[in-house]
Amino acid sequence: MTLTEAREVLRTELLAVAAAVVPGQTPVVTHDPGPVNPGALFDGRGPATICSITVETGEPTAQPDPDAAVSAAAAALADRGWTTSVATEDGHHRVSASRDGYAIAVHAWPTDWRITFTGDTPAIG
Amino acid sequence: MADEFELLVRRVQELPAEVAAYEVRSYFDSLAPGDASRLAETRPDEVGSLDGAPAALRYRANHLRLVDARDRLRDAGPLAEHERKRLETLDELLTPVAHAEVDASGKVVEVLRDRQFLSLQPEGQGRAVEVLGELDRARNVAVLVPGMGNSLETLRGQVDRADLIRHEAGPGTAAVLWLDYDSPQGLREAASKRAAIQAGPALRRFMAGLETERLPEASVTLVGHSYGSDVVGQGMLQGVRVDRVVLTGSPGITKFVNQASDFVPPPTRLYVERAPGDYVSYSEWHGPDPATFPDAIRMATNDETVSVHWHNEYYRQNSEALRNIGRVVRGDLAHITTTDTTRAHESKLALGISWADPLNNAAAVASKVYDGVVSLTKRNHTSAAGVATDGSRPSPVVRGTAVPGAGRRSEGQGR
Repeated sequence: MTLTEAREVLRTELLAVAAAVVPGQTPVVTHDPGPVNPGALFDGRGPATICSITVETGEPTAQPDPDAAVSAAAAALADRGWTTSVATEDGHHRVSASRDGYAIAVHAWPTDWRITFTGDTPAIG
Repeated sequence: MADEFELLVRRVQELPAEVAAYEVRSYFDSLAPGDASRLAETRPDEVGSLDGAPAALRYRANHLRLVDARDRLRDAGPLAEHERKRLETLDELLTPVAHAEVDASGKVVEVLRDRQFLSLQPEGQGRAVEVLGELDRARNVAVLVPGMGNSLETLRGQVDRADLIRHEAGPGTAAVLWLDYDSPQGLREAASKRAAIQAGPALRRFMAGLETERLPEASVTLVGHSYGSDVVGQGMLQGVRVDRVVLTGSPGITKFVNQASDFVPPPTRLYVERAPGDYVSYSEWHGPDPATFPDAIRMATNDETVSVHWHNEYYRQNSEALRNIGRVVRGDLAHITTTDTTRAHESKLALGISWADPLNNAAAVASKVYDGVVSLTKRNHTSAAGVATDGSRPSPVVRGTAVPGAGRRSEGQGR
């Protein structure tokens, strides 16, 4: 698989899971700058081998329910073959998920309507 | 107005950073909104990097500077390879970024906005200071200082890190990527502290400007990675004051800094991460490893699920290293996880045999050789902070007393 293909896979997964968590809204890709070098030796040098993408969605007119959001996200990710774990600390509700070298984090908070989905491709190249 | 502005720009160059930023902000506050906007439009080179000027005006000024730099390059005729690359970079920096906002009917919609630069140098190696989030409304502000090998062309990867920190820290967080120094472009340059020492006063001026922009109740965290941790250290020695400091993969601050309170005055706390196998931290190339400071909080980088090794995985998705940085930035200090593993133990974990101490010894020899070369070829200047400006090391000083030979110590001493 090429890095371009991996980027597309990640983007599709993030959008699909975000849409499953909040079906009535259209998720927005807020960060998808393209391939970067995560720092093979030091910062910034060497070939670009991973892509990072962020997607946001939420229900702005409803009271935030971060517990329900991460539960729904974990279920949607598991349905799509991801290994997930859910954690909550001091208002930070979080899902960590991995599959075939991809990694996703879902963040939800009681103080914000936004549910954030950040993901990295595996290193390719 | 133009003459007044010119006088202001000249005068504040001679003032202490905090006074200068206050004067600049007072000047802009005294202007009618239309006049202030006109300055950004007509004097973008000055307004764009003027610490203390309102962020919105600096964003606009730097956007204009980017457009100008891109247009000049486009019109320059046949371009060399590095110029073509720079043109691509400028086009990318001028591409609007998407935000998730709410329309009148309560639907989430995509809104495109220009990127927010508080400083910009589109020529040469290139520099930039970019803001992610809303600086004037943020309750938490993280300022990320990257390390060596960075330029305008590597900004994308650093913005990725800033974006991850912002989401990990949560709502109401603004992340600032501060690449407003000449990041060393090779090991030979990185062996010298020159770039960090020159960056210290620049970081102080920037942070003074930030003080005029942020909410009074906002907490500010400085995050330095690798050589950037040295820049953060030099900034703190130059008088930068923040709520919290995080250093990841640090090669050390300087020979005489061997505890947090040497450069991070209380009540500010120092939080340090050193991952297993981080050869840069083990080398102690610029000074004692901050992970060994007795008064620093040594944060865990690993958990059972995501491994963080070597020098460049601190910002890995879902890692304990990144989660701890998020906790520090949002002030959730009770949930920080810590470690006390030793260099020997970590390097054994990384490769099966302990190699960190031999590396540290080799780095000490190389450091001495470098010092010798520097002292033969350069004059030794000492800055106000007592740090040599040419990359050579002064006599180590502990609590104000010169202690010959005390700069380098083996891990664990004095803890």
